Amino acid sequence: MARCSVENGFELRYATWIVASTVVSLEEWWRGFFYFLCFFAMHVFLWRNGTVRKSFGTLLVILIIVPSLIYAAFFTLELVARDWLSAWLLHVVLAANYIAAYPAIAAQSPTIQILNVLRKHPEGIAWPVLLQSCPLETAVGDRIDELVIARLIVPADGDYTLTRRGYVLARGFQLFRTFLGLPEGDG
Amino acid sequence: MSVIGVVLLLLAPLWIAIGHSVVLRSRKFGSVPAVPLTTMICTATVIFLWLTLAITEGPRYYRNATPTLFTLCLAILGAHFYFHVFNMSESSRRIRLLRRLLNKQSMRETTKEYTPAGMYQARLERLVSWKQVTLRAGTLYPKASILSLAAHILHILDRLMFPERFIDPLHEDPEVG
Repeated sequence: MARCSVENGFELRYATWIVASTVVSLEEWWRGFFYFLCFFAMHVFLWRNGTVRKSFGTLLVILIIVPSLIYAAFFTLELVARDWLSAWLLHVVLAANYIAAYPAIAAQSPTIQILNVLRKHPEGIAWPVLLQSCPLETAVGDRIDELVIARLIVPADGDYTLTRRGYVLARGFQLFRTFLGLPEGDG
Repeated sequence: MSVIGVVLLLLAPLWIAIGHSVVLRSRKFGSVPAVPLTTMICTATVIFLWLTLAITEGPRYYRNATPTLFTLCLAILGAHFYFHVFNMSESSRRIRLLRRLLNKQSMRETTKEYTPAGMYQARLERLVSWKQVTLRAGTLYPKASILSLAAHILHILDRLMFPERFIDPLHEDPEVG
């Protein structure tokens, strides 16, 4: 990476150069993978031991909030170089990707289940037989329970109603689909 | 990397969403299923981002492997993130239930229409139309595809994270009880 020559009395120019031309220095970016893996290992350990609630919020704390606070502390105490900002950036982006994929694992996505049953039957399998391997009886009921546990809906008058958090989430996805010009998904 | 470069990269999901919206609204792509189309747009955006950065950042960018690899990693991860969010809006059961409640439909009505068998059927039809599985004379055959590889990886993560789901009740320890 090109270095700026600092001359006496040109601190302001040097500071401007830092902000404007090098937001992220890339020497240490690859370390982001390694740090993400460390926190991912912690997540696996906690999930297997059942010591924490296996929720989206806990995942956010373990994979993004705690690591970001550690990075921030290190930056503030000047224990690490500015180069580590790129490592943090990669870490956060990796964590965001994992968190986006996590619902497919936690809620046992039906598409994934169909593909995994098929993988075990290279000789082929009839659709009714494949369906017997899938947990049909819990496919919708468990999702409603999860929405209640996540406080996105609450029971009301023999049915359910959205909480404020649930409203924001549902409205966000509705706006997103409207922006794309798409009708409701198949589910 | 410059400020513009970092902003361009971090906003990768937004560029994809804009491109996606334009493409979906054009009638030319009406026959292409939504998810393969999204994958194509994500890939095109990653290439477009790299080219834009190569032009705006100059030779010190594209002649050096470090910024190129970093950019590609962030752009691919941004595209992958967008893909998951779109897929959630398309096929997530919980999001569908929430949106039905938002549209003043009761949960009782929704669960009556939204049966588990119908839900699995919709997914099977989607997989067949995307050519991820083969349906021949009423029998389903697996196909080597990116989606089946992703399904395998998610299955491994499922076993790792939720081992209690894979305990076989037929193989209980005979010493117990």
